[in-house]
Amino acid sequence: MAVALVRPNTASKMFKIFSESLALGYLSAVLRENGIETSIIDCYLEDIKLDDLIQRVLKGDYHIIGFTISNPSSLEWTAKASQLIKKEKPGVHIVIGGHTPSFDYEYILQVVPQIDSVARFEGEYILLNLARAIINKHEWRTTKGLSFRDQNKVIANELMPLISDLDELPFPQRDYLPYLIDKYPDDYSVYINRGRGCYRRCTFCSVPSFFTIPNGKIIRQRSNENLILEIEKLVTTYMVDNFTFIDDIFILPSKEGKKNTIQLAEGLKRRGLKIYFSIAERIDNLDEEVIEELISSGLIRIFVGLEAATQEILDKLDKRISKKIMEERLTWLLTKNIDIEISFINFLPFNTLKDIRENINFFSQWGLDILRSLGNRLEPYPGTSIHDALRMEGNLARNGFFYNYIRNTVDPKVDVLYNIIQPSIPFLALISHQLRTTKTLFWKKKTLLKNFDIFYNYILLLQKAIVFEVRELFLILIDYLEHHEKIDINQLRSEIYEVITAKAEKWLSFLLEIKKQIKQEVLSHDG
Amino acid sequence: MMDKIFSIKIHQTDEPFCKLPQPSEEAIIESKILIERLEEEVNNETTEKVQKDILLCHIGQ
Repeated sequence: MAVALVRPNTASKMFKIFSESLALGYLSAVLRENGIETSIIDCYLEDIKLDDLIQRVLKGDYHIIGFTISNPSSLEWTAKASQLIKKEKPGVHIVIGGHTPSFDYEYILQVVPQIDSVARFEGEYILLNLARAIINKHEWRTTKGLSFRDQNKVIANELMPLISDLDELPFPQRDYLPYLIDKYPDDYSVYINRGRGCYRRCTFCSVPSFFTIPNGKIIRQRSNENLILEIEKLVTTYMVDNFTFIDDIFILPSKEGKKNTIQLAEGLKRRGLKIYFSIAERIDNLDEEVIEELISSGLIRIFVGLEAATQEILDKLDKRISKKIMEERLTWLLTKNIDIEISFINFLPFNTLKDIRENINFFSQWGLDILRSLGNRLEPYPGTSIHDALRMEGNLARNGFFYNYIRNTVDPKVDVLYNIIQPSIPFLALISHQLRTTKTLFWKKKTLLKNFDIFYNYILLLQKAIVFEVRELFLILIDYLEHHEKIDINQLRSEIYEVITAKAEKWLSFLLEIKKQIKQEVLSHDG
Repeated sequence: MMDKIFSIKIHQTDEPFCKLPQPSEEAIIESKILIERLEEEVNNETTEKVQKDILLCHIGQ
């Protein structure tokens, strides 16, 4: 084997999402198409620990090991892995790629000498050229898009332009799909990508810079024919029917984009593809006609990043959205028989307790799952404009590969609130995760459930009951903080922790019961 | 003071759950185990690290 592509093992087992890494799927597809033997090692899915990875790498006798880095946590893991690999195999070339390294390459290359190079921005053809150079023993340092150390300096080569036509890319390799289907039949989802790029410039997001720093067309979509062909292949090869589109923008904001999406929905139906799928989209980009069409072709879930419930904060985040539009769209979306997932950033360096109260009141009014977002504190990733602004203000702290803002500069009680709830956040996230997986199980088994509407109503009622209970707790706490100057943070923290963990246990038992009943009904149907 | 405020509220907000199918013994035990496991994980790692990994799961890695 020439190349090993690795996904780091960074997540807790309890919160795992059972899907493949599309980044590795695309990278390996381009390498294999060009005759370069490549294996994928998904440490995340297989729960491969560092020592086991080293054993696999030693057995494989690779020239190149590439790590996909989607966040600082996976970078931390990769730095450790690289140190261990280089100890055993000093001649192997270690390359990393992804959002964080594309922007923070200088620091990474300086502090992790075991990492030889960083493939910046879209990596498919950078990795191909690097692999060709290394395998053929040519000079690899001239590879476009690559950064590396040259003695004490970090060199950044000229960037590769963005891939202009996504249809030219081979379909991503699906090495781990049979494993997922076999091991996690109730939980897996097939990740798929329609396009790349985003047309907005939200200050907290690194996507805009990722697709504007290199030359080329920022927003690209695959043709409907190309996309449907891939779906059809997956359905017939693996008998799968559950897809998640991972695009930042699924429907392009133009008449053409709308028409094209309606044609995609019609195409799926025409080919008789009975699939169900999720998308992520900006809420102002959701058009009723398009959504109706998508629902009729299998849309079951829309994820919308709403970020804040006050116009001032939305504007500060440069969301370019009005609260009124948000409210209107949410109201009609909730009349559709699909799952709506939202997220918002509850802790920012510039919001107030009042803003947080508004987030909680506004987003919970429909009984939407707000649990995970309640503890969501802005992480200023490199490549975001908020990262640069915080650095200028002296409000940015680096801890290894992680960045945090130091303090809320507008309302110090927001930091106090975060401090109090911090230990309880994983328990809220666990409930949110279980809610999500319960709904996914319901959708997966929907056709096998006799009384599916009763089940779904139960799930929604339970979600509402949990959300309202959490809301009450948070509002009492906020009210307490607003009316007290002397606050015993430690006492409050353990008080809240006790309450939330006790409640989480109760909520979880209800969720597990519903899951159990769905499975029982499916079994009796099969029987 | 806080104890009192929260315990009253816990009691009050329990009501909607009475209308739902009540969890079986098995589900109650399983939920206890999951919560304990998470508590252990949070104690072993820093809460901040666990939180970041959870967030990463959400965005799908």
